[in-house]
Amino acid sequence: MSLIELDGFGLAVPYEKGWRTLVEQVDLTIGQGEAVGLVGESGSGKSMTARAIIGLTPTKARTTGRIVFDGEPVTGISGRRLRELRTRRIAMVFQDPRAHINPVRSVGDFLTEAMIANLGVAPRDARLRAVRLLADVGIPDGERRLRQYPHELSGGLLQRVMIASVLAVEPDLILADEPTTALDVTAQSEVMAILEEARRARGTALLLITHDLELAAATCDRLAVMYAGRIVETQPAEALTERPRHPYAAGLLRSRPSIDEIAHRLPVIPGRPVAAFEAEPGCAFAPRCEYAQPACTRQTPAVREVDGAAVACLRVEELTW
Amino acid sequence: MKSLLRRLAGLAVVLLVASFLVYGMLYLVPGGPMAFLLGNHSGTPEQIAAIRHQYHLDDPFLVRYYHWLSGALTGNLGSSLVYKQSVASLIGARTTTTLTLVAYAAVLIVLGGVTAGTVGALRGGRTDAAISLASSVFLATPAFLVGVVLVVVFANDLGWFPVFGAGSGLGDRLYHLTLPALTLALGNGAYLARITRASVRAELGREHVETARSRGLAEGRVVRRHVLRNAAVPITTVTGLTIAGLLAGSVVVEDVFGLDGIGSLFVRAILQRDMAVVQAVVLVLVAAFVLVNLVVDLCYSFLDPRMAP
Amino acid sequence: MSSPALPGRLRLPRLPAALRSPAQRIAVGLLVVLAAAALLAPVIAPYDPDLPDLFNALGPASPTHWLGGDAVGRDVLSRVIWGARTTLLGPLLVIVCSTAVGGTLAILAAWCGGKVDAVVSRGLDVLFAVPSIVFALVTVAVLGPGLPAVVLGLTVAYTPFVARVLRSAALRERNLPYVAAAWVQGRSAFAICARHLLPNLTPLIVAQAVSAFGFAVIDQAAVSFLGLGVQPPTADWGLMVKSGLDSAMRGQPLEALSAGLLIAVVVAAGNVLGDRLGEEGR
Repeated sequence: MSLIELDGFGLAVPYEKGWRTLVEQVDLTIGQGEAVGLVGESGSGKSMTARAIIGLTPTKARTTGRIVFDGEPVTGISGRRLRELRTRRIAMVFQDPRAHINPVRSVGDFLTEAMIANLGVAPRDARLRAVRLLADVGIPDGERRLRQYPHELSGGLLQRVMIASVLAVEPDLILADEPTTALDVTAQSEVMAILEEARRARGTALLLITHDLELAAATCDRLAVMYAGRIVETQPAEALTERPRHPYAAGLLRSRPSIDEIAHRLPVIPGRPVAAFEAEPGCAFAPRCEYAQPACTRQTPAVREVDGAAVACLRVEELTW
Repeated sequence: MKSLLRRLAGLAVVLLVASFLVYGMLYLVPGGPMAFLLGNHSGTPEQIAAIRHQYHLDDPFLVRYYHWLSGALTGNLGSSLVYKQSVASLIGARTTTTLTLVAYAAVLIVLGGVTAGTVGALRGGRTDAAISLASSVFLATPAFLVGVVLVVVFANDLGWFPVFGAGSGLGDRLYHLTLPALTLALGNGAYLARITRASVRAELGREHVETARSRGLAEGRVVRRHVLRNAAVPITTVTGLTIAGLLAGSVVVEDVFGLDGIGSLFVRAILQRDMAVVQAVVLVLVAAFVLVNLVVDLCYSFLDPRMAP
Repeated sequence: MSSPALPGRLRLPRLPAALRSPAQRIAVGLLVVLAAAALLAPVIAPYDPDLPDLFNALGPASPTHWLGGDAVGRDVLSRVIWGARTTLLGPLLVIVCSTAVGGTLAILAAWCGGKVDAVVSRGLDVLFAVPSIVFALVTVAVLGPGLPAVVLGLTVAYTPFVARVLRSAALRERNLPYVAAAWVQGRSAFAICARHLLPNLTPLIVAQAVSAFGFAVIDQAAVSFLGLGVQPPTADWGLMVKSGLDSAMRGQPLEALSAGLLIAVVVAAGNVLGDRLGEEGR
């Protein structure tokens, strides 16, 4: 049974007199302990989708469709229920730990606050647990770190602190929003490895939001590729990297550098990515797609099952790479 | 610790330069220091000789400045030509009134300004619009006008408060000082409300607040421990600067309400060209201003670990 | 968005953008009306502002005297119109002078850096230690009461505020690549400052000046109110609030109210414009 299920989920924010659609018709499921990567460029709506799972939508945003977590709906529930969900079941790792951790409170405060306030752990015990958690994410001198302030730690260390704070609540699902994008290259792989290890050891499910298809493929069991607010392709990670079905996913894969081959010039997808509200009628990717046909701009392609892949492309059966 | 010492040293330099300027202004008066010291009075030869002696006018400028400064540092601020009294005792007798007024106003400013700004930022909508409008109006209204309106309406027409005077005894004093303190507080409180509103709103939109919410912390806790706690940094700075400015503002308010404080002493001294008093009051005002700023700096580094010494 | 060829001209034409919202248009309209009233005082004032008329002493508003009379029967409306002159002229001078001096100091400090910057910055620190109204009062103490002393004192008091804001802006601007480019092209320091730095700082300078104007109006009126600025019998709004206090207690509040309200209106208009221009200039 799936842990979480998004069913025709959509989100729009008010803009001037009308609405701006950011996310549309998203279907996504994550099983117990499963790692799913949600891949897309900035503005594709991936981050908004993840935030919607714990109700962190912009004020006045309008949502459609359903999000069901562990058999119970998440959309439209009361503030108290939402808080229960955030307290113990779902936790989020944010992109920029420097901005996402309160700069005027100590690391110890940050780590223990949720434990003390939400889980009723005694302050002394909370600090002991915090030290153990820091050790788990590869920070040995926890006692000293608890007394430090965020500005005294490097970005990589701070992101590990964030991960430790997420592990503290022992959630069923971790939402990781570009957890390594703001870090140095050297810190990126370390942080990813730590997140992976901690997650596997605890059997926690993961939704990894990233623009980095390779990173997602290396970490996740299944990948979903988003474009202009819609999921255009969902496949197991290996299958997708080996045989992408949607022209956009294929373009993403071709435009990354490889160590094995010498490329004189990386192929790029022409044009620029669009947000859902900018998209023209029909397939949003059609204007940039080399395989587009007149039919593509007439109707929005529905998601179809093809050889174990869910793809939203009219020509999916004809196209192969 | 080291930066604290550096700050104290910087403060001493500022005060020293300011005192030099204050003393030096004696020589800018048309007619030179004698005209200045005699003010509107024409002195007898004996008086002139006494003054020349008292102010060491026959010594070089720097020596005289040194005498004046060392006197000021030991509490001897010279004596007033008008009151025939030591300046220190003139000022001393009036500090209670002025300090009570300033403290009273400071309490009103902090309570009113921070509350109004916070409520406006958190509630939004009509409450916010009303508070913003009110603060814009009060910000644009000069204190003396507020004072005049309060005197005419609440003291003269309605008779709820005494028109003039500072009262005696704590309760009576506070009663007498209510309208003056309110006068001093309205504009400054409006300014603080604006700053508070802007800081709280800015903080509400910060990423770390989103983190706190994502962890399921109760909204009240998020507001208290993250939004207000962090907004306290800029709010404290502005509060300190505002309070430092209150002493100067009290000059006008004391005049409106006929309070015999340092401010009205200052105004009378200027009118009567009683320069020893003018110099001393300016020195006191500047010293107080600089000291309050130091306290603000210390609070600032205490509230924001990134600024810690 | 930014063309490297003409960096000096980029932000200038945005100034009129401040007139987009209704609040801004109202503010500009009010200031224009008041400035016109000040300029045309001899033409539009119905009476001689200094002429007492015992029959009109503390007189109520009437068809002949729209705002009634003051304690000695001078026409309040005429005094309000004439009072606009002193009340607005002083602060205008203060702003122009302090902007000129502060702006020069700021660009000098930012351009030269090093010791010049250190001296200017420390000097400003000392000036900051004195509240602006105290500056004005001290100048009055030295030079004697009157408008010139107040204007001089407030100019000195406002200079550090202008200089501090402009110095950091000029410093930012100075470190932009186009300045180095102009330098490499062999332009003189003066030419770069005058042709590029100054035009780029103009929106900020104007915003700063407009919002400071309101505060200068309050400060100058306060000194007049204390009896240390503009001297009677000259009509001045600050003075009218003062003399109007007695009249108000005797049942004729129009003198104090009209003068006081006009001060508040000018200050509010300055604040509205200054806030908006500040956003534009950033």
